Amino acid sequence: MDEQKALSWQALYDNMWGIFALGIIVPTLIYTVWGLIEIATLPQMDVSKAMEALKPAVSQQAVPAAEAASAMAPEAATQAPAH
Amino acid sequence: MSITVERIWWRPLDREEKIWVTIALIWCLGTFFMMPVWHVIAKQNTPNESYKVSVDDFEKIVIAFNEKYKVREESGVPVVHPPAGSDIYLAGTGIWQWSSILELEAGKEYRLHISSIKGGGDVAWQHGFSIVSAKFNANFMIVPGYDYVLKVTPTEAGEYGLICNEFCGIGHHLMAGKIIVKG
Repeated sequence: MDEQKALSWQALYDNMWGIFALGIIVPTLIYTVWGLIEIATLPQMDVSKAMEALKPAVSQQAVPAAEAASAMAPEAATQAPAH
Repeated sequence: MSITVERIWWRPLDREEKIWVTIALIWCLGTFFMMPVWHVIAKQNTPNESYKVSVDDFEKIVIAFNEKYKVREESGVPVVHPPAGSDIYLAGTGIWQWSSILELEAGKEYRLHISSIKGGGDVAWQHGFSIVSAKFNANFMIVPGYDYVLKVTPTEAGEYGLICNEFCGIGHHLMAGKIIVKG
C-alpha cells in the first residue's frame, strides 16, 4: 500500500478534536470577542449637548421685555437673590 | 481474509480538482470582499454609529424633544415636527408604545436616535424598529442603554407604519406606530 504522510493541515482536518477546537476558537474570536470589544469601546452619548439643543426656544419678544424691565429697575437686576 | 482500503484522500489534488477548487475559492473571496465594497458604494447600509446612554438620560431627552416640537396629538400620542436636518429622537417604551409620531419632510436628512425607555413602565424592554411599507422597509434593533443613530432621508410623502419586530413582552402587539412624511 502506498502510505504517504498527510500534510499538516490535512491531518488537522482529519482530527475530530482539532476540528472541534477550531469550530469553537474561530467564531469565538471573530464574533464574540470582537463584539465584546466593540461594546466595551462604544463612546458615551453627550447628553448635555443633546439637552442644550432641546432647550425651549426663548421667544423673540421675551428678551426685549426682560431687558426693558432691568433697564427700568437696574437696582433690582443687580440685587442678590434672597435665600 | 481482510480488506484494506488504500487511504489516498490526502494525496495532492489532480489538475481538474485544482481548477474547480480554485474557481470556488475565487468566487468565495469575491463575495467576501463585496461586503466591505458594498458598504462603501451602496445607498442603504446598516449604520455603525451608536453610543452608550442610560435609560433615564435618554428618557429625559425624548421628553424634551417631544415638548419642544409637539404640534398636535393623535389618539393621545404626541405628533412631533422637528426642523429639517436635525437630530430626532424616538423610543420604544416600557408600556409598549412609541414615544411619538414623527412628522418629517421629504428630501431632508435627519439623524434619528433610537433607544428604549421606561416611559411610565417598570422596565425598558428590548424592542425592534421596523418600518413597514410596500416600497421601503427598515429593520433595526432597539437596545436599552444604547443610542443607535440612523441617518434617514425620507424620499416620498406618505404615512409609514412602524412596528416592533422583537418580542418585547405581553404588549408587543400594541406597538404599532407611524412616521408621517410631508411632501
